[in-house]
Amino acid sequence: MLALTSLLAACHHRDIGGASSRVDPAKYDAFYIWAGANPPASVEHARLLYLLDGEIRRRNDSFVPLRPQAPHLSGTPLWLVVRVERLDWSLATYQHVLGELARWQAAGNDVKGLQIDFDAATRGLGNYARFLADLRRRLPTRWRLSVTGLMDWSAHGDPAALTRLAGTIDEVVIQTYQGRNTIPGYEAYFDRMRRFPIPFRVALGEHGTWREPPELRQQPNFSGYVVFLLPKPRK
Amino acid sequence: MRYGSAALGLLVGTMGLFFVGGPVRASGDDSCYPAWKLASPSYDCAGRIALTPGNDSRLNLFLLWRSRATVAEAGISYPAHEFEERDFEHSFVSWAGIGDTYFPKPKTDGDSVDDTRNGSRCDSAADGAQAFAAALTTDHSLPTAERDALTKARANLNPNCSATPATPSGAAWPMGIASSSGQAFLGYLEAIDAFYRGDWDKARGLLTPLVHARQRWVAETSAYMIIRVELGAAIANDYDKYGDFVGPAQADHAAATRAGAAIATYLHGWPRGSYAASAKGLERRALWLADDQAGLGRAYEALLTQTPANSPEIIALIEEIDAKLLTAAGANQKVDTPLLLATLDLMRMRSVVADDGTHSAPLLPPAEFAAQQAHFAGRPEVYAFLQAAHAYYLDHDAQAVLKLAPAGASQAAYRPLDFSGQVLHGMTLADLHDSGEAAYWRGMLAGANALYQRPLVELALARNFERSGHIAAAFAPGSPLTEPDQRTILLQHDASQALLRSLARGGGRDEKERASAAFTLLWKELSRRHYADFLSDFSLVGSAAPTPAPAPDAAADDTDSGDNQRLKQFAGDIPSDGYTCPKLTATVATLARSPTDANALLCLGDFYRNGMNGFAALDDYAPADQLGSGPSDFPGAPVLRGRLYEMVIADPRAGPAEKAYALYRAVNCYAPSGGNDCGGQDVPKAQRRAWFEQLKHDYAASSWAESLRYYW
Repeated sequence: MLALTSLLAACHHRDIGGASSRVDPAKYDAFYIWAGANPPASVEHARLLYLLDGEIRRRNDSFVPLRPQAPHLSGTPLWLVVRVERLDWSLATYQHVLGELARWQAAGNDVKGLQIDFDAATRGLGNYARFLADLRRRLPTRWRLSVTGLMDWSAHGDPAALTRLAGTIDEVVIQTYQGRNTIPGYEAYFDRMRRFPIPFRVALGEHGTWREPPELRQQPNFSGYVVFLLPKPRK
Repeated sequence: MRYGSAALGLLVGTMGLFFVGGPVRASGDDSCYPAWKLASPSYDCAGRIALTPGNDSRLNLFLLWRSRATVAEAGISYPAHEFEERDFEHSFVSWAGIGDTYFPKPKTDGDSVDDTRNGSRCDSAADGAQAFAAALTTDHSLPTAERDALTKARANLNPNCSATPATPSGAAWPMGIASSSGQAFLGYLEAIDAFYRGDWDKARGLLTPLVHARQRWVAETSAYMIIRVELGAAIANDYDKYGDFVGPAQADHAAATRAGAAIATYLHGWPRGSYAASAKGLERRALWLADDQAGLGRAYEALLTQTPANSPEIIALIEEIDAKLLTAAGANQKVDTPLLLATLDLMRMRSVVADDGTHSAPLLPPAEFAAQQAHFAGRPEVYAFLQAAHAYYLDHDAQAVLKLAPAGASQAAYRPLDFSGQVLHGMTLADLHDSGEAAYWRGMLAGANALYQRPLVELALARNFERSGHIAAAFAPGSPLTEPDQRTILLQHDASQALLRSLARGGGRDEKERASAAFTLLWKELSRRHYADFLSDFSLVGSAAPTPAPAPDAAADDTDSGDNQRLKQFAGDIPSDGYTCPKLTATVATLARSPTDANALLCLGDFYRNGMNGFAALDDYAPADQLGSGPSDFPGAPVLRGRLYEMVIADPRAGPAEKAYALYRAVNCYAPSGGNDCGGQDVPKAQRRAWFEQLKHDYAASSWAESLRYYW
């Protein structure tokens, strides 16, 4: 193992010349809420929520529900998130997902649309683009389509690959965390996001370190931050 | 904290297990780095096979459970480690590791969870339909037409358990069912329809009289379904506004209590009934939803007692106990059975570390702890251990520990509870610097033959060797230290040049240790400026053996080839990014003659910078109470990369090309986000700015000044 001292320094809790700081949910107004996340009171002021509803797992092409009931959040716009491990959905799966959207809507929620959380390796993007185009056709027009963008941290990580999804999806949410931690080196990734053609948000991990890359806010397609709330760790 | 190594998940496979140790998790990394000591006062992702407050509660409960009798470990062996636990070797174990060790499962692709169940009451609908059809068939008093009508009605039910509750039934009930059995079956169908729609009151109302039906299947099944109705009613409004299940706090406790009564009624009436196993299994759920933590605890303790020592079911049982009771608020005050109470007490003995690093003292008030003794009447040895742990971790009362956990005679084997007490005794001897400490641990070795036990004893011995300055003895033939990671820590941090040389030339346990010693020797001779020694030991590079194949159970990145490849880097060229350098050996030869030669210092810096930066961690020490904290027999203090640049910057005899490059590199130590990549003390930002300006102003023509746009 390497002792990459730049990493260790980035983990210091003190500010380095006013640079990185810990993500404090109280300072944000959009959140990812995973199943069983038990959101803290600071989320009461949320103006946008992404709620995980269920998963489609590699082993079994069926929708696995992770949220036992529909939310009842009539005031807050929200996205229904489905975590996906495979793209070859059966008709029943499509119907189930669309049914979930309808159920949440019927419960009085302001459902903005569906977000797909899928780890598309750069190589698999062609297939993913086709899947999304097809999904867009099946999705009623009143609901938008969003995807998570996982930063590819190999030396060739390049947000340009996501641009081929423009026209199919309405937004990308770039995830800057892995597990509980901010992925280091994100500055370089955001350097390459200049003139990104799709509206995008940036998802930060609760309590992760974050230093806003210069010029991020000037990007016309930057729509703001979303904080991913963590389940409580064992103590 | 700088101590500790951080591996990005990305770098899997590029480096062998070269550097061990470090209590800090680095950003971007979910690995667990153990603290190399026996004491574990706060929650620790790296658990120990001895009971400690820091262990995962599930691990502690498992160890307590497994202490009832000596369990043979035939056919059990150490499992391969998950990547996140690659530093554990055999000294540490997590709860997941326990499962892998004692109840290994064949590797399956992805989840082995049954994904076809959606966790709702509709899951039983298909089986229920089948059972209903079978019951219709076996009741010969049922007219055929009624049987057909009832079969059809059941098939048309279409349960939808996620519809809003109490939607009106869409079912069309058949007319003209006149027989006694037929009416019972029909009534049952209506009740089931209500059940699936979540209309609990209606379901209860329909089922209750059916318990006395003469149709025996209907009677028994109704009695069972009442249980499920009450459990459904108990959680009907137990969701928050996000749609998440809240738990017992918000459940309908009266309904849950009725469910418990219904279970008792069913088991009384049908002790060997078709649903007896299911009903018995639901007892815990009823207790849980009734928020009866005392009752739930007793049920769990009984289940623990009933679970045979080698039963894989213990894993799921302990996870349920942990999720439903041990981590539930208020359980501390309600649970009154020995194993569970002991596990809760150990959790309360933790010192809690907040996000900002501050520690809070454990909270187990003495009076409360004393009052618990009566609950351990059946297991007094458990309470005795808790007292010893309390004395160690809370009271810091060495004499009390020695009395409460006295030295046992050397044993042929240790149960986990006995082992834990003996370890506490030894830890106390260590804290007292008792001269009998080493002999004490040695006396434990023969009996510490259960998995994970001996490595822990060796850790204690290793620390003893280290503290008493007997590093050479730790590596002598006949040394009791066999754990590779522990030996590596000692040789990396404490070994003298002579010892490292001797290990590198064949005295090491194996090829990996030999290569590790060689690398450590050469690296530290460089960083501590023993340049002449480096050159004379350089022959060790040439003797690097061809890379052997990794051992079959080696973790993905645990390859010996890493050490040998790293050795060869000493022989290589220093890569150039525009500042040309000779090979490292030529650079060092220059420094041996002239230790402040600016060009050579900068070239040494470039050697460190290009792929060797990670090994600066060899120049750190572990926290004072851990293995690797010294004292070290290796002479000199390391001079890290940042210092090299400062030396050149301050040197009046250094030429402009050297100065410019030194300034450029010094500023870049803090790229790209202000973190110090060059080791040593951080330099204030004002100084970095001053260097930046000095470069731009005094060496404006140099390519370094032109290419440096920022400082950090």
